[in-house]
Amino acid sequence: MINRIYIEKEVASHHKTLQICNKFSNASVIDCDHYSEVFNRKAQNFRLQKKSPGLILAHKHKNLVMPAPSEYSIGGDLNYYFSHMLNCIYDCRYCFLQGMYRSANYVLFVNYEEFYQQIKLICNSHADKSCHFFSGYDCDSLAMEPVTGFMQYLLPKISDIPNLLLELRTKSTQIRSLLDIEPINNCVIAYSLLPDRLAKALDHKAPDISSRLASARKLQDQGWNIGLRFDPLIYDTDLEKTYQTFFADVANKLDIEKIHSVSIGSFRLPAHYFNKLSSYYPEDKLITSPFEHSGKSVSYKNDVKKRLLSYCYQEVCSYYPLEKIFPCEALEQYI
Amino acid sequence: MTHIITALHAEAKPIIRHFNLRKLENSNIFEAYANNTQTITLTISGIGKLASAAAVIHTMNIFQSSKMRSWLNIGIAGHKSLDLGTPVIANKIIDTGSKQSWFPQIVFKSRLLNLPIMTIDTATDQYPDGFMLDMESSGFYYSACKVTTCELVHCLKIISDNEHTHYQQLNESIIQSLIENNIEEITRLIDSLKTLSLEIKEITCDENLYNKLTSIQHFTHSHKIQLKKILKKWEILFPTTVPDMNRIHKFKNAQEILDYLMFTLDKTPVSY
Repeated sequence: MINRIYIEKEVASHHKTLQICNKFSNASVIDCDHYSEVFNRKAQNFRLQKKSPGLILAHKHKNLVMPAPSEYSIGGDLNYYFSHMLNCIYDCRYCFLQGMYRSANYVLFVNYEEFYQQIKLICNSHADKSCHFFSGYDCDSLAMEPVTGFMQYLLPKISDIPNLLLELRTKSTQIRSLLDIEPINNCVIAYSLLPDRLAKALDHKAPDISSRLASARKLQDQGWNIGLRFDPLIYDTDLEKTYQTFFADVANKLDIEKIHSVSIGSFRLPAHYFNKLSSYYPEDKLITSPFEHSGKSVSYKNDVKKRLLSYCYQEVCSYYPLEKIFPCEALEQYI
Repeated sequence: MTHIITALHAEAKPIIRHFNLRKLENSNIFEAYANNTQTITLTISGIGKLASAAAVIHTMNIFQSSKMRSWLNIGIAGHKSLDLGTPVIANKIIDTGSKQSWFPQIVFKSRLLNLPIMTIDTATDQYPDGFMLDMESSGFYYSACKVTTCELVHCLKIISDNEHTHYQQLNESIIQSLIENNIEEITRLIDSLKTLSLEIKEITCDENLYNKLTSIQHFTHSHKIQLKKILKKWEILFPTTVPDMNRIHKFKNAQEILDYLMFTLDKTPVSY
């Protein structure tokens, strides 16, 4: 799976580094001074590297936990995100990572302890407020768990922090490490979902929708909080029929009474990310969609967006109570 | 297309022979060779990183190289303990003069051993542990990465000297044999890079349709770029239908043509 591992000299003897190198004993090990020497270099092609990404093991020195964008909220007073990893094993065509990063190599920050300390510090300093932490912004939270063991490390430690809620955003079926422990009340496993046909066309290398739903159900049955993330919604022929069947299917396969939260938003990207995406995949159907540039971002044209969002929002509202639904973008003008 | 840069004639000869390359008449700064279809070219840079960097730029100019082409530096290198004749691909390049490092991205399947290489300014028989030694890689890599993406730029080295057999014992015929004996590996690597380069997509469209449309009205440079993108989308959404040419002939300028095409595309829902 991994044929080359780049190791920052600083973490060369870190126990996690040694553990991971053992797992990939056939990989070439290459040292570097700082991960950015490999990761941020110019003249890299994300699409080509996605064919065989390497793994970079590094130490995260600052900005371990960052304030989350306002539209990321699921009702917390304060919202933060953190990324123990950069990049994802999946290759979803709409993903902003391919626009944001020059390299498709995975970066894993092995100083897990400092992520935990930072999270704890924030919660302690805002003891009277609910602090929500989002993982899975720059990577899938669970897909590499068998390699990283990050959540296995973090979850038991945060379970008793009363004002914390942790969201693990994922498309993964790698849930063994969660099933092996008691469910943690202040953790939500948030599944990103799309209608099956669209997922087959766009969510390359990711588990299919029925597998994602089966994993979500297993977790739910064991007592884990499950969130649903209908973001990004993708415009398609027969969108009403496609999404009606899809939302019904999701509701059918999960215990909807127990759903923790639902978020919803249509495809949108910063314009320069979208331009990169178009240059990597000019032949992809997604690129041919009716998009428009608005300010510094690209999203569906207003009429399309209105049709997509208003229909999907109404459908979602028919299954879940309003207080559990969180729009990822301003919906007023579309619904 | 693959551009090969070698430092020495002796390194070049077996490659020229194997790929049936012919010398270019008009290349008077560096000797350059190409096959009939110009899918493989070879330039002899002479020794040293500056020469290698300059040969890359020269090659780019004479062959009008595009981003989709791969670049290979093929040559001999020293290593403390590896057997003579071992082919190795560089996974890290360190320039001992500037202390800069680069990390070639090996994203294709390869059974070749890969190791870091140090580019030095003067030949030595002091071999550091774990590194290959050569005199060109850093200059070549730095320069070639200005021309294309790093996944398509690689240095393939054949071990020519080690702590038992020093570089002073090398001669032209030994160097030729070292390369000759690895010609299959060289061919395999070229094939891998060729396959990889096909993944880089340029925005292409139906040339006939493009020419037809641009002959109807005056298209500025910016209009032409837009037209190419729009026609690419057209191909994807309507693979068997051409735009209504009668209608297009009635438009007064290029912008109206573009607007019509865009309007038609936008009202067509994408079906996955």
